[in-house]
Amino acid sequence: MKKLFFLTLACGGAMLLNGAELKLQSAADGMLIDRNGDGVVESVLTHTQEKPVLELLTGKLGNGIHRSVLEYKLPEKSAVAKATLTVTLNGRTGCHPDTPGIAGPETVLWVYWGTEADGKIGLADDGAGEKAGVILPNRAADLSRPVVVDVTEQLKKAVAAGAGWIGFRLEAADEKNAAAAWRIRSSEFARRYAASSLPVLTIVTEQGGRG
Amino acid sequence: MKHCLILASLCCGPALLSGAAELPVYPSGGGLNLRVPVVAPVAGGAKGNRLPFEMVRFTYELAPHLTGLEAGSVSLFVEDCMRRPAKEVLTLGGPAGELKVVIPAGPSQERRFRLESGEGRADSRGTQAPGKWHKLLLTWGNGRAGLTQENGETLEVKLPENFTVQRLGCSASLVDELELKGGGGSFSVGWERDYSGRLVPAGQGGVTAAVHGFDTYVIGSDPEKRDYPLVQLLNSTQERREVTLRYELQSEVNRIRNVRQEKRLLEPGCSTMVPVMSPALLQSDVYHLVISIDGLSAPFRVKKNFLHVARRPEPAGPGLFGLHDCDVKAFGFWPDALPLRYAHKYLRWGWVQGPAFVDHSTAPEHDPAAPPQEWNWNAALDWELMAGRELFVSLQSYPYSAWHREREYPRGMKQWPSAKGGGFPDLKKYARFLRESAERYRGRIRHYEIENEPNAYGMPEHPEDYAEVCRTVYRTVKAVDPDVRIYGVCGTGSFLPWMKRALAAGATGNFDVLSYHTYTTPRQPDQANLRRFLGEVREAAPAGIRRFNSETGVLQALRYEADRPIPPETVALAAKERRTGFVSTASWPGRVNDEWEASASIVKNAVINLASGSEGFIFFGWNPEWPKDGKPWTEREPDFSLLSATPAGERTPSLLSLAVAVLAAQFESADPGKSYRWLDSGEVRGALFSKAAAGRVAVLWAADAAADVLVTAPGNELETVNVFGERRIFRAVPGAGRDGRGVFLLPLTTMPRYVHLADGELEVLSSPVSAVEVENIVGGTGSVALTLLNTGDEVWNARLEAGAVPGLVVSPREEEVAIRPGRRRKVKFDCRLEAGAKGSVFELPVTLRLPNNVELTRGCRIGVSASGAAGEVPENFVLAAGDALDGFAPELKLDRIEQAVFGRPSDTASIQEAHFWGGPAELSGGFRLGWNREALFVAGRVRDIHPRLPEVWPGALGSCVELFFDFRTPAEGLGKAQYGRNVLQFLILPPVAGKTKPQLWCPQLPELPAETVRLCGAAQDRQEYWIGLTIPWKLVRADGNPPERFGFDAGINGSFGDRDGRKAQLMLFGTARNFCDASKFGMIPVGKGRRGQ
Repeated sequence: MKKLFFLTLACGGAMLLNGAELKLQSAADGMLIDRNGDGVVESVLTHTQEKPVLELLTGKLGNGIHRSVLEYKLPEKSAVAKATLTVTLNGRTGCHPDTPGIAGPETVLWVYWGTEADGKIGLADDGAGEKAGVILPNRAADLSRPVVVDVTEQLKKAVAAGAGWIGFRLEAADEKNAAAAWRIRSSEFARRYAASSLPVLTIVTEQGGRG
Repeated sequence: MKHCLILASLCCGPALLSGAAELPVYPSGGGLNLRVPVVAPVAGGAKGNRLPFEMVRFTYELAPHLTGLEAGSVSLFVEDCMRRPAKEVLTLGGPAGELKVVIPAGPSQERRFRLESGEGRADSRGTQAPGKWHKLLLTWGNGRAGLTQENGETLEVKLPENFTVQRLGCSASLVDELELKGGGGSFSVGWERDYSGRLVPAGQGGVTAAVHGFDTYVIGSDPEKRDYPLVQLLNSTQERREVTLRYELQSEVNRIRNVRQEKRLLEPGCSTMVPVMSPALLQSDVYHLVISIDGLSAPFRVKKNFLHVARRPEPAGPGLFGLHDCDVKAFGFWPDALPLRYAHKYLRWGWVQGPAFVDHSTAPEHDPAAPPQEWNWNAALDWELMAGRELFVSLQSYPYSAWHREREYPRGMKQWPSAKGGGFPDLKKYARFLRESAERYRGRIRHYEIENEPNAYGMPEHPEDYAEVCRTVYRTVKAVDPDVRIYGVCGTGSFLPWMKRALAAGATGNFDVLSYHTYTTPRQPDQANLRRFLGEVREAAPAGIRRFNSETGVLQALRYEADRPIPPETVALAAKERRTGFVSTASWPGRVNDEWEASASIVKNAVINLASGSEGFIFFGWNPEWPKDGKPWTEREPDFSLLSATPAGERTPSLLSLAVAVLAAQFESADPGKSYRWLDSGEVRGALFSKAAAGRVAVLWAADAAADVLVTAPGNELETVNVFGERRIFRAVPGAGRDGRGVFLLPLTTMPRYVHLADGELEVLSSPVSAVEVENIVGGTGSVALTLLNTGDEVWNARLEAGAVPGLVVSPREEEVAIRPGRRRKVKFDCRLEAGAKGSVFELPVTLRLPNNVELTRGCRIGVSASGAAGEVPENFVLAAGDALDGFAPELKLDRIEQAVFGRPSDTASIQEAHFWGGPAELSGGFRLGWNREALFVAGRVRDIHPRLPEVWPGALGSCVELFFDFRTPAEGLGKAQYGRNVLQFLILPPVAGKTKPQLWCPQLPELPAETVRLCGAAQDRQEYWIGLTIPWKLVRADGNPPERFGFDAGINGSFGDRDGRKAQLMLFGTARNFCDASKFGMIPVGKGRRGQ
């Protein structure tokens, strides 16, 4: 299983076996930031060597409202039985070990495909998609366990639409009044410190599915 | 009413005196628009007035009104001036030759009169003192001429037996009370009122016409002014004559086509002035007028090309614009009808106090000890000063002879026929010149600039010397006239590093205003990042210093026919084909603009300058004698003339000339001392300026492609004017405005548009299109994606519709997206090139409906990526010579400035600077591609006049060739930026004569076996070599077969001649980052039917 896990991560979405579980790493992740609080994001922050992005923030910090975005390349041929998005939280202060009992804002997951989903994080990713539901409540979370969200319905729609990419955007339900921000471990964080905290899209395909 | 009276007097103007009629005859040569004085006569004549301007010779035509001048006399007064060059005082000319009274060049105490004809000459024995009127009498007849001076001395020369006089020329400032008698009539000039002479006819007489007011190419509408167009009809016969005038008028902007005819009855001995242009026809435009007149003594048909610009009825501001010196030698050249402030003139030390060859005059080698009043002061500068213009004078210390110079420079010295030019000036001697200049012009000249483009000419390698010159100029001139303003740096091109060094060396504090030139041809100033560049200049300049643009022009395509510009497509094609006249190798960097591009460019350049804090802007290229005579423009280098001409030499204003005139008129009321600000916003570029009295003027244009933009302004109407002066009023979008401010939908293009506000502010509303992403067409497909932003409070169901573009199939044509408040969405249109479609750039209009139902259209420019061709070669083909592929494939040439990806001067550079690519004569090349089922073949030839191999190999810092290939399939990422498998860079060490064999290195295949890829090549001579490369398909293709297409690029690197390093790199299609970005390679199709071309 461990071997399969790494194989699929390494190959991204390029291959898929019917009835198999495929774990995909994001093609891109980053943040959209509204620095002046006018409700319109005006900057994109993604990881670079000069300015590493180790956490994806959702909510409000001193330097503005943050929305987190992750995009995945979908396998060319797939019949989705089940799909989940898994992300791992950092503590509110971002230090280790994580402090128990801390909370970020209620966070909503949006899922999008089509033109905006293209494997790159851009400002246009901010308005696309459909709401998948609340994935983080405004209460203390167990930081020792990953957050797993069922996105099967959205994956099926995306696949049916012939989408090549799918994107996930996390944003606070009430951004203006958000008192804090959730911190999600980015791909770069996982690469540097803990592979197990990689934000992963897991797809289980149907037996005898298309392809 | 005033006009009516004046016109009436002009029309009825015969001067019938008792006895014989006196006809007014205006100079036909010696200046432009001389009907009304450019500079008025002043007191101090031999009797009454005189003319004060030196070095102007007027010519008067006497025939057919005064004939029978085989013998006659001229009495006149002559007062010599102090300057030393020779002067032609009086000339009598006819078909058999000329008779001249001359003052030969010489010191003031040695001045003599000379009488000369084609048969000989005689000099006076005694001298004549300048500054005093001397009476002379010139007689001729019976094959001899004599000049009698007031001391009784008579000079005599022979004349041809058939000598007769038809015209008279005289040096305007040197003569007075001139009277020619002969044939029973007379001609006299006395300068009491104007420049006209009075002619009393003799002989049969005749009927003639002269046209006034068109000479400067800009006409006015005030009959009192010299640029008011008139036809003067002269009837010196004894009979009443009827003439018929026919006018055929057409205009370029307003498309006026007007033909009219009028009859005039001319009384005997009568002069009549007939107005030419109906005021109703006078709009801002370029006009072409043919005037033909029947009933004259000789057939008369002239064509006049001119422009007119409408002024705004507003109080004028201080004035922003000026005209550059441009070596104008025509007296009265100034286009009075344009609201221009500064007359730029050079004051060259080496010309004023220098050797004769410099100004091509007959002045002798200058004596350094000559007194200043005898120096050869710039007469053209004095003319403009006397005409009341505000002078901006560029002082130049360039040494033209050894005594001017303190030391020579190791590089850049020029060898003149009799002396050497260049080096560092002798500042002590130069200071004397400066003192004398400042004294001469004290209180009359307010603006002095230190040198002209010293970073490019004179001192490019010596900014510290420039600092020394600044110190000398500033201290010397200010000591004489503390009120003058001194302008320093005068940088051009990429002058910033040079300026920093000059400032650090001490130039700071030794000038009051920072000056510069901002040429961007052929790129538009905004595309060339002129705003950013001027920001960098401001940052590097002394804090708070004022700034000024003292010269900028643009290269425009001249005309095949005077009446119409060459269409942009034709210019683009001619430039692409590098036809003579369309591409410059002497001025930088290359191709000319078509007239529309040039018009947009000069307006944007001025606006960006003014909005960057430049307090003035001087246009380069306004000279009514440009484009210069000589070879047709289609056979020579383009120049920066603001006027145009046909290959046959017919000069005409162009749309660019009109754009400059309209710019000056639209900004006449602007006041740079008041507030101004940028209006740059997304797809909009521009700025807003305050007017002197009240209101604002804005200039707006689309940054890239056509775009409708929303602006708000007070009221319900918005006045706009386009670059060619066409006025258009926009009405506010109904229901969209509030608080007394209307919302206006302005359709902008890349051509600037002026917007006038009576009061209040103009705001550009943020565009709903927050970004446009274009994937250029590669392999026939590409895309355009628009990101829309909903700034409203409601969900916006945006509907987008792509317009039809010939040659492009767009999918989808319509799209609708719901955008929540404050959010963005992206809409993408796939574009497919239709088979046989022509063009390399398409503009796709996308229309979107806003929540308030206003429809906006945004043009999106999508290009077709560059491509080349490969020829199919026989199966047994072997590449063993540089010309082996000549019959199979066209050559992909590397010889254009656009291909210089390294060593290319900045876009603001106007000239070639020594440390940049020196043109195709220095480094150029060409490549051909061939293929068969087994392999790909590349043959290249390179000209490199400084072959110097990279010091480190493998390396590209010296003479070498780089070849780039992208052998991926589209599914594998063909055309994508990242280097993947089968994207290869080959670095080739060239075969320099007698030194090396070609060597190959591929960083992607560092262990490539030598026999796998075959490299050959040889030096042809010391400056040229060829290389050949054979790549088997099996090495780069999984299936071992030729692909349908592949990515390709070729670069050549050239070295400095005298040191290691890379001076320039030319790349066929891509950029200097080809080694890490494969997306800019060209595309080479491979397939059947591509054999041999």
